[in-house]
Amino acid sequence: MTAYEQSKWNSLAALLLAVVPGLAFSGEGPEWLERLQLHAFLSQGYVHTTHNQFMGDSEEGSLDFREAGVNLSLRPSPSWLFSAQLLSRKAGEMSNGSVNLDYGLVDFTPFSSETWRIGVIGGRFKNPIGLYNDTRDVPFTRPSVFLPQSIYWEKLRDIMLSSDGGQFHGEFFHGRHSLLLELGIGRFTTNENLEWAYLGNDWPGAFENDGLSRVGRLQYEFEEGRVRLALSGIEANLRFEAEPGLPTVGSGKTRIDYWVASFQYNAERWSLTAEYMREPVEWQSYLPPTFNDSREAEGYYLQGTWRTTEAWEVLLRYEAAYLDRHDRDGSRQSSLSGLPAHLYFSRIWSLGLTWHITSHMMLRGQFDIADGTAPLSARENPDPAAMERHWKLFSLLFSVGF
Amino acid sequence: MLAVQLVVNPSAPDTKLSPSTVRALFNMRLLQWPDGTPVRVYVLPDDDTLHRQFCKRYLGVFPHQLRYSWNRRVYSGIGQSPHQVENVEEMRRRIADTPGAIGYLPEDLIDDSVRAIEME
Repeated sequence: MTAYEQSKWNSLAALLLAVVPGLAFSGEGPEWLERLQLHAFLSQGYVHTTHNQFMGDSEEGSLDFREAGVNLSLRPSPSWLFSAQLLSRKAGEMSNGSVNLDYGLVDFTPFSSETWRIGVIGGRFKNPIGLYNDTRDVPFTRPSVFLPQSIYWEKLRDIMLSSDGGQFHGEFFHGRHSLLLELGIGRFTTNENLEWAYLGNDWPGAFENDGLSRVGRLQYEFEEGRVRLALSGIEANLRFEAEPGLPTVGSGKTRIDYWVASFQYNAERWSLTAEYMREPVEWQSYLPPTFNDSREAEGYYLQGTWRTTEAWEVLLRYEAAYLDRHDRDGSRQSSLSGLPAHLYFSRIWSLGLTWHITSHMMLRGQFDIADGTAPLSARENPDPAAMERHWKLFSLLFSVGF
Repeated sequence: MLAVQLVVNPSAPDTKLSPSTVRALFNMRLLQWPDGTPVRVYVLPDDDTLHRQFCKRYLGVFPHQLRYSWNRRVYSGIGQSPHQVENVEEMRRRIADTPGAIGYLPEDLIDDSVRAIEME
């Protein structure tokens, strides 16, 4: 950690400590304070892999996985809500821990009754994708240290994360049934991770939004989420503007559709969750023409969690991901690129254990056995020849929050 | 064990609530009473026995389902969570002092400062 990073980290920690005592009287103060809410969280991870790099120098044991966030919301009247969250996230080579605006929005819900709610959101909003994307960086909203990479790709998080634009939302309730529709349009934040993921390198030039992207989710719930079914997706267009004179790759467009089907069943002591993802990607008008290709990535997982007591939770999950569902063993892609075939698929078994020490403190472990390296970032593993197809991961995460 | 009872601030306009209204209130998606007063929801911690009893009897959900729904609203910026109180005495005091408040208490703790409300 550099001195600069250290000082940012300290100032964030100081901010968190400064606001905690304020909470003690947040409910007992003047009336306007009742309408203001503050929440924060802080987590530190440890990641050890037998081979390959994930979240820093994990082969040696890495502490380069940290999350800290603080959010504030104000509801001046039942139909208006103002909210914002600052997030600092250190994720190995993929995210440097700088403080970003995770969301900052105004919600206006003029139509509201016990049977329906209809409103609009403007600003930076979290993309409603799958069951976990909206709160993917908040440790105690996740089931495990890391979300299943087959759906919630670490290296593609920037597309999934948030949009600057507007969103319509409608909720409808009838007896034990409810339906939620969210439809948004906007631009997402781009960075080098996307260029690494879709162009294989951080080339000189700009990889940016090509017009507006659309995002949406339709979700059905039975008995307040005892059964939950959802279909969600994002349609994103990116454009690469090469710097003049760049010999290896010329300007072009990348079109990405990304959709997820989700299922969850919640019993008192256990939950069963499954999600399935497809992502057709097209590279158009790049030079050289061999760069232009299309493929359809696929991913899914099946996850069971069991709450043995109030304090302990066990997780078992199987996930699989294929960068091209018509080339699941990676042989076609490998023969075209000359790179190892294991870069193009992954199958991972995960075992997790969570200890809710108090309602504000959590310790969690996750053990993965992986075959294939598709979820890993080229940015963290620049030499594909040095990567191993079979690898294991052990991670710990300590979190506090309120 | 004493039965859990839904209670409101005495100024609340309703005398009876439907099960779907109670679910909407505690899920933080029905935010005002019919007369326009903002709703203030009070709950005990997730692992409190009375909270679990309330979730089961009045809402037909498990505490972890409610927590998922509150967390999703809070940490994606589209809603707020209920006010969590430490114990039943604080619950009674806060409901008595706050117009629009709703929560729950063991039957024997209900006095004139709050009003028990029936679910249809």
